[in-house]
Amino acid sequence: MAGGSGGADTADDTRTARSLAALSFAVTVIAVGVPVWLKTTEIYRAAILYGGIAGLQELELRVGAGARLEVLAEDGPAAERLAAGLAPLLPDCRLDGRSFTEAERGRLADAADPWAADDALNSVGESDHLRLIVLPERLAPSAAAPVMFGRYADVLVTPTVGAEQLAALLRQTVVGDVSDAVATRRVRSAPAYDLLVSVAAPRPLSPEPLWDGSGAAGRLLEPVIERLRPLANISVKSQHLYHADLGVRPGWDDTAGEYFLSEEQLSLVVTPLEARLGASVSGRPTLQFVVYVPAPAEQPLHLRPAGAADAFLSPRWGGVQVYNPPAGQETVDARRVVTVLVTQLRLLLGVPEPPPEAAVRPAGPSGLRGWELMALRRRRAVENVESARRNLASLAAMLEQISNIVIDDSVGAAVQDGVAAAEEAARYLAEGREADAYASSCRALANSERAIYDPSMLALLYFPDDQKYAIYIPLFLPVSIPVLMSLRSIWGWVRGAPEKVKAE
Amino acid sequence: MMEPLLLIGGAFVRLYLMHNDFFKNLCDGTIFSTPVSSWKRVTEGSYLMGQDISPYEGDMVHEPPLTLLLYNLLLQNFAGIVPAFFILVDLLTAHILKRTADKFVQKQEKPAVRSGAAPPSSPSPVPLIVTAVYLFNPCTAVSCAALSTAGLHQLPLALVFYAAVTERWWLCLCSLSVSCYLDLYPVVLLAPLLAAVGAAGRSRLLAALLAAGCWAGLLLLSAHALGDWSFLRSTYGFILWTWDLSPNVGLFWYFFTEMFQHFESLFIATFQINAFIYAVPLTLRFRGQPVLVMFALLVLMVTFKSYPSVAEAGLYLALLPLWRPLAPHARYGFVVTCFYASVMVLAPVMWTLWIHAGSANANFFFAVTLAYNAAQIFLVTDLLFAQLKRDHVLTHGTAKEVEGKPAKLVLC
Repeated sequence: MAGGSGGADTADDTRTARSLAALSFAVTVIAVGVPVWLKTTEIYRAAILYGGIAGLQELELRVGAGARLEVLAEDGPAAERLAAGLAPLLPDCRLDGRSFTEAERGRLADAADPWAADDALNSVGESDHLRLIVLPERLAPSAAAPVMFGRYADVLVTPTVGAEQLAALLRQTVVGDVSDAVATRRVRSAPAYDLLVSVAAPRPLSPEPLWDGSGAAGRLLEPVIERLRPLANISVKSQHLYHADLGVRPGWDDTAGEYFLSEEQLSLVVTPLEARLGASVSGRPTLQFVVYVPAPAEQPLHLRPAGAADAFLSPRWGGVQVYNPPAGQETVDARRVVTVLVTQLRLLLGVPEPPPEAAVRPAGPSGLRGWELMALRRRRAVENVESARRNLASLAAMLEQISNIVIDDSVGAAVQDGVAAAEEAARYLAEGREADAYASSCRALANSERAIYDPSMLALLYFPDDQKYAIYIPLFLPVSIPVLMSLRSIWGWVRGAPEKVKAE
Repeated sequence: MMEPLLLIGGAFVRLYLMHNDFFKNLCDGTIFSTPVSSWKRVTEGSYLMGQDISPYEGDMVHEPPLTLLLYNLLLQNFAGIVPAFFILVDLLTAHILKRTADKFVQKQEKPAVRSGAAPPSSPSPVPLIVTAVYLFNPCTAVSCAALSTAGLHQLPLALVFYAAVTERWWLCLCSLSVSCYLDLYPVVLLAPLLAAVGAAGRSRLLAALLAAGCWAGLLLLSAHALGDWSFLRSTYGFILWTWDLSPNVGLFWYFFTEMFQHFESLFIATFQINAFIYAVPLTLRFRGQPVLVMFALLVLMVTFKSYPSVAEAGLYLALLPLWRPLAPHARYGFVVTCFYASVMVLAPVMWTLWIHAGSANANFFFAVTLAYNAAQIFLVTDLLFAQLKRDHVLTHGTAKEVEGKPAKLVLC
């Protein structure tokens, strides 16, 4: 200001003013800026149950664990003897034996042969666990084999059956682990499927649809779908593909008077067909079933080597069958097509097949036997839990290794639910509660997939550390350098040292 | 005598601009109508209020409740005179600035008169220059034509300067709280005001309490008028968190369109701290000149706030002639003038090229915005350095040495 007193005083005043100003800058930056920086750049990682996931890997999962087998015989001691004989051979299962109740005896008295006995014992309702029925002496001679698999949840055995043979058969079908052949053929376990029936006709003779989804064909498929409902929700769709060719030229056999497709040609059929089947967007896996109606010029068309029907299966994908329409018929014979379709469906779902030395009763309109359903549920529960724990283990390994993945609360919750559901499923399976075990295992699989495929984890994944410096430096460096440099002069002022004037 | 002519001339300029098609197109741009000051949003808010829907429910209205109610009243009853209302507000601000300039020039010349120099023969032209600059400045004129509510926000700020210069502290603090209520950033002016209050011998604590009390009173009145506190998120929350990134002449939008989501909160905090951090240090450094510090903080506030519009630049450009004595010591006068002139021409050009013609892109417009803000920063630093130089010259003469040793002038 004009007319100020001695120069030294104003110089001191200015120095005080300058130092105070620099000090207030520094205080704001350090007291407010640094905590804000630390708070706003932390990576939020919800807690993950690494211990629970590790514990899951220790779980021993066997299909037969906890399965309940009840032996029924004419008299109690015989049943208990058989149960005791089987117990060491099937260590995971819970075996017990009893004699027939009065009601059952009464119903059995009318039965004429083993399959009638099977019906009689299940007339009031199907059993919810596997039963080994020792046939009465009267019915034993008419038994086709020592071990007979019935239509419901019963296995009928003659009184003289060997325990080893019976145990081996049971292990192969109901209470054993999945064989490799079946494992490579079956579709992956899912709680719902889309079943797509495509009728491919290169030269359709009439505009009428060949497949009647709401008519005869639909009515035949309905019991099968209903029977499978505890396992999976199957929705049936159908489409007609006109002018769709197989893409291979069948050979002509003079002696038999028919066209044929050889085995090598079959492997070339699926891919061109698949391109025309159309892609549908749904969260459910699709099982494809193609009914090929050959053009009149190529009829009759058969597959070589000749099998029971002109049909073949592509593992994990679906099945193709060739239908040669009898002359003059306009729609396909629904019964024939659906029979082949159901057979292919059973193969795709991984239904266990007993070996030929056991007799198997025809499955009836529902296409699936009771003990098959039980076996499927157990196998799928185990498959689901194994997939879930594999997913969770890889997720845990990834999260531990990569430190800058953001872990949302939803991922943490999904992991927690998945681990709990998987442990629950294993527990229910060991207790013999198959339906609950299957439901828990589906939940475990769904949660584990939701956790590992969550898109929020990718937010910072491809954000290398050196980009952080590219973000910080342009803004903060020009701001912080003068502040840091002025700290020195502030320190000098606080100490009271005389000011050093820089030479220009 | 000249003043009424200037006022009438300013009114005519604004009327002409309001009815000219070319400028109407220009006015639609966000250079003049930011999300905080757009008249379209005010009319939207008024319509929503007429339908009994809270105007702050969506993201359209960011106007404080009391002024929204005022505009609503105007729109319902006197819709035709809304342009006249804005022109009147501008004229009133110009008049207040003239009275401020009168008093300030008087205070500036007092020491010279006291020490025996002859009183100036003719009254200083500075007050009329101040009025003319405010009225005929393209920034303020086109903003008024665009019915930008930022013009209304300049009125309490002008009152703050008037009251600070004439030492009417009650008026000063009340208009400061009104200004803070309308727009959050003028709170930085509290620091130099408290220093001025202290220099005048009044209690600083009382002054601070008065300002805070007025502001709280206005907030309570708004809550009472609206019925709830939901307006806080749309007004102050919006100003602080800036989730609308439409382009304007500020620095926020371009930076935040490129920001990684994870770092967004860090940088919002940094930018907002930057807007407020200069108040205390500048006040401490220039203890004896609170009005200069207020002016510097005004320029810095306009540069660093989240949604600036050029109407606010009009206010400090009008006050600039008050520091005419500093002009001989300023180094960058020519550079700053060229900056401003080129920015005035290029900003609408780049905006039209980007938005309407589609042949430019955001970088062109942002480059002009950067130049505009750089010009403002140059202006402030040059002014402050000029003040230091003048102080040094007055105490030590024009020699470049202090007590026989070569000296360097430092700001901090």
